Amino acid sequence: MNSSSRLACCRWVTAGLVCAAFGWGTALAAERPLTDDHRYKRDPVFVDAGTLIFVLQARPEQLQLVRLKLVSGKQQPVHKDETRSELEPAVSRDGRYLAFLQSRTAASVGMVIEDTREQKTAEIPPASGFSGMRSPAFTPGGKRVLYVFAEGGRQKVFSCNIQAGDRKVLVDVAGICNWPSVSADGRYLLFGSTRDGNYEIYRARANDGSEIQRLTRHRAQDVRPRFSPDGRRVVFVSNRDGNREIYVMDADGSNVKRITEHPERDDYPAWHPDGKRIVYVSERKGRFDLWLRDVP
Amino acid sequence: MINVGQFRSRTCGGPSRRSFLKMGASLPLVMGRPDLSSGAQADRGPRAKTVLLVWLWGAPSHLDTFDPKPDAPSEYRGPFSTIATRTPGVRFTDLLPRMASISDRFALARTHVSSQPGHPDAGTVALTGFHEKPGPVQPNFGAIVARHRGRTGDLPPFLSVGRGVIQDSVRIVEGYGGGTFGKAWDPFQVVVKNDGSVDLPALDLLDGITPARISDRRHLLGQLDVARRRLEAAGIDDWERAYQMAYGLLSNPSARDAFDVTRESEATRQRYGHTHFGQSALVARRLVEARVPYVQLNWSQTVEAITPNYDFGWDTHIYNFEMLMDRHCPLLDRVLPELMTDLQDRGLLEDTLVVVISEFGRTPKINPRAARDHWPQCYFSLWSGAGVPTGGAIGQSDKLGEHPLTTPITPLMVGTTITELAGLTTQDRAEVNVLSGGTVIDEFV
Repeated sequence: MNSSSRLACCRWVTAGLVCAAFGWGTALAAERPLTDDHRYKRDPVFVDAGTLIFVLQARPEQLQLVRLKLVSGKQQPVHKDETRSELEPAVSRDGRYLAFLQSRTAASVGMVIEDTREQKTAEIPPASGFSGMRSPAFTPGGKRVLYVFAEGGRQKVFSCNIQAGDRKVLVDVAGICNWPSVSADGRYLLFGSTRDGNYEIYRARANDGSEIQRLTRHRAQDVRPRFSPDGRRVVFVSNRDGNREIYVMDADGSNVKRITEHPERDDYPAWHPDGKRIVYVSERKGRFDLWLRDVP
Repeated sequence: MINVGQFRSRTCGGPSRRSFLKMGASLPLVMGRPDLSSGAQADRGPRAKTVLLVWLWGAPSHLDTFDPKPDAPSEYRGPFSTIATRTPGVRFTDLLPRMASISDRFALARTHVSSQPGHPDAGTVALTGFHEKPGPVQPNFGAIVARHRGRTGDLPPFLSVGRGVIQDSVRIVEGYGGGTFGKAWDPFQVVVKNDGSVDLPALDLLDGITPARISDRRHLLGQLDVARRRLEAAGIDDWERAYQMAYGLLSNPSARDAFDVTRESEATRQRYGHTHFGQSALVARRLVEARVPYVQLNWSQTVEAITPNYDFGWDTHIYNFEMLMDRHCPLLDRVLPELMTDLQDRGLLEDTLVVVISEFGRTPKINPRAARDHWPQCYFSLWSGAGVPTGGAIGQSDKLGEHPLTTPITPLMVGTTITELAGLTTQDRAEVNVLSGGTVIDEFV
């Protein structure tokens, strides 16, 4: 982030802190930008209330993990000397573990689980030939990582332990599954699937993938579901109103509300740890930035 | 901003290499002002005064974009819904709502076939009409048009806009350039950066020529001799032509303006999007406006969709659905409609042929990795402008998108049609021994 970006971010944060201190909650803007460099971005996720990691197209050939401090607006590459693309970061609830995808060779992507405290990594390397995992997500206790992997034409939800071992299939249904997310109490698993035709959102038992319930039903794509920190709500993305926008619903699929409305794309939502806000990528006037907004 | 070659200024301590255009206004117009408006004389001449070929390198899935099969079994259909377009009876996937909303401005051809299943070979076939082997490699359609038209003004007649010569992880596409015409007919490479600034690598050959010395004829002749030796060392036999193109650009601010997107309003730049492909498309539109006979706009330099140090082409052996949904189609669906609308609003589409095409399609049947592989047996293209009938679909693929049901369109037919619309007759082609045996796509000519 350049200096003007840092200043802009500081101003927003300062204004927010002042408003909060004086109880001016309603004076807070419903949404505000966290970046202003306008470059292509995706996959933001909070590490803690003041830090997030997102993916930036740093070069035409590279997607890079970047850490952003909300107060200062300072951005730093997570892996400074890495030249391969890294994407789809996930962070354990205590912030200790970081899981992400790493491009290895031609159409070959591995999954890395990094213990940021011990500076150790475990990984699931890509299988031979073209191969890649997707969408890592931690269980609430941080003991296991869910991810998706395709074999035999089906893209299934798997889980592994924090050492990338003990790999198990969790959901194996027809079509393509993606975007697993586990509720805070560990009982439920959300995921997207094409089992009924197009992308819809489903809920299942997190321990064994059983009792699958369909939560959305629309001709459009309903994708990227994520449980709120308290597990009571779900944020997701849909193009049901013409372009990609962000929606929330209750954890049982009821009470769907659209929370963004822009002529361009709003995508990649992630809950703030306070459960009251989300960060997301918004394309506005052909520019990509991170935005933070309240969830009503 | 535009940066020209490896220019080093020795006239002051401030501006240095790659900053030539900042000083451009002070240059003498040694070569004279280019006649950028010469193509505007529409009373006679070819239907396509300019050809803009948009090259979707890596090969997008036809089923997941412009030729969906919503009634096919799930192992073919893919995860996307379809939406109506402005073309009766034609549906696109819901990844392309803006393209659907302007489908009356282009024609969709759904029965392309290629004989080659690998990228470089298929790239050469798609861009020349013929196989690389046994050789010699035939000239790119752009080289054919460029040679026929010759050079008007100071802009080269065949420009490739993107990030350099197209390639895969193994080698370049041999059919990118002049082929049997020689390297002198290779495209002049226009390298666009993410912010829309432009590098013209060919002008590296004139490294050392400075604005101050350009008027010092004695020194200039010495420098040009050095440049000639560089060109010869680079294997460019027709050094004079290459030199003239480079020198014309170096010496003429008006010609260089065609590359400079900072001359566009911010609103225009925003509409194209601040991405590499968006700003490259805007450069391409400026070159069309400057009446360059043939412009090839490249989606990427490399085919690979996700591979270290490659720039996200359409080759989605893994992550096909995710990559199309997350990145490629939103980007394409922003840039192509804007490009076509902008050309039409400026009155350029009337005599500019726009062709959007790739080297092949992707497997209709979803592969074990829940993605799609190469499929040369059936793929699509889009055609607009130059009097091509729009708002319809040419041909039909079968119910699974595996094969054409109607007359297959070969790369040789594509090249013959493009060159025909650009003003070459059968005799013209025969005289330079190109596109032998080719026939036109009747619906477009």
